[in-house]
Amino acid sequence: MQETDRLLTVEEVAAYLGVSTKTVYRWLRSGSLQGHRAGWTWRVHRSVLDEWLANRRRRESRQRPPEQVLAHLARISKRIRSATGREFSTDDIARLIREGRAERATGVY
Amino acid sequence: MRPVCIDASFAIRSVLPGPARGKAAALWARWIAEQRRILAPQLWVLEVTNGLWKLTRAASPLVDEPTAREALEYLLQLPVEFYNLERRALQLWDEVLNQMGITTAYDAAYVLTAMLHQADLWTCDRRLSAEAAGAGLVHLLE
Repeated sequence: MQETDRLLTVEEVAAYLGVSTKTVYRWLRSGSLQGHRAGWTWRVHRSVLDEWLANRRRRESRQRPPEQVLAHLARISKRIRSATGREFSTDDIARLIREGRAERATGVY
Repeated sequence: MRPVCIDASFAIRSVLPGPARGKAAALWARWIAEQRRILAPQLWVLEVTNGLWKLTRAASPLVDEPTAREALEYLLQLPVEFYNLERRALQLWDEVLNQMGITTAYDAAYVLTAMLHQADLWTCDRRLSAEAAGAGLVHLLE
């Protein structure tokens, strides 16, 4: 197993993050941090911990509250409608994503 | 409260005008208010980017580039947690592609992310919804 994906104990996670083991147990029990039960205790993959930390940092660094983001997305949607005069069905959107994937495979088959 | 997993079609539905855009926006608002975890595989960022980019590059552009870029900027501000499936590629192959009969690894990435977190998976894609129906976690937005 790579060093970066070592299984860490709760104590190691707590020391790495600079929080108490009680806090780590709370995150594990709530499912906020994914861990594996090992008998009476837990183990956490280092890669999972790093990803969790990156998501947490991303959340903390967001510049706008989500409500504001949603309101702005609604404004963008209205702007697109008035500029193009068209609506997109859910099937149009699914096709847009699928065609993007198929394009990546062009020339393989 | 169960987490939710969203695919790229759900994200793009949230910004393009048309049926169910309002439903998508209402779901975002509810999940945020309920402080639910909103998850996606890391693939989501590329698929959303590619979808919006393609709209600007159609023979007759469907959305102008500054607007599509702005839409991407704002979608990336939503509180989505990204999940790395690097360690799960073989599980994706065996349990989702083979056993469940999902036909692409892209779709399988969304299904596996939802399965691993016991999350509800939201999509606008009928094919994904039909193929993953057996997992009992897919919701089709229409």
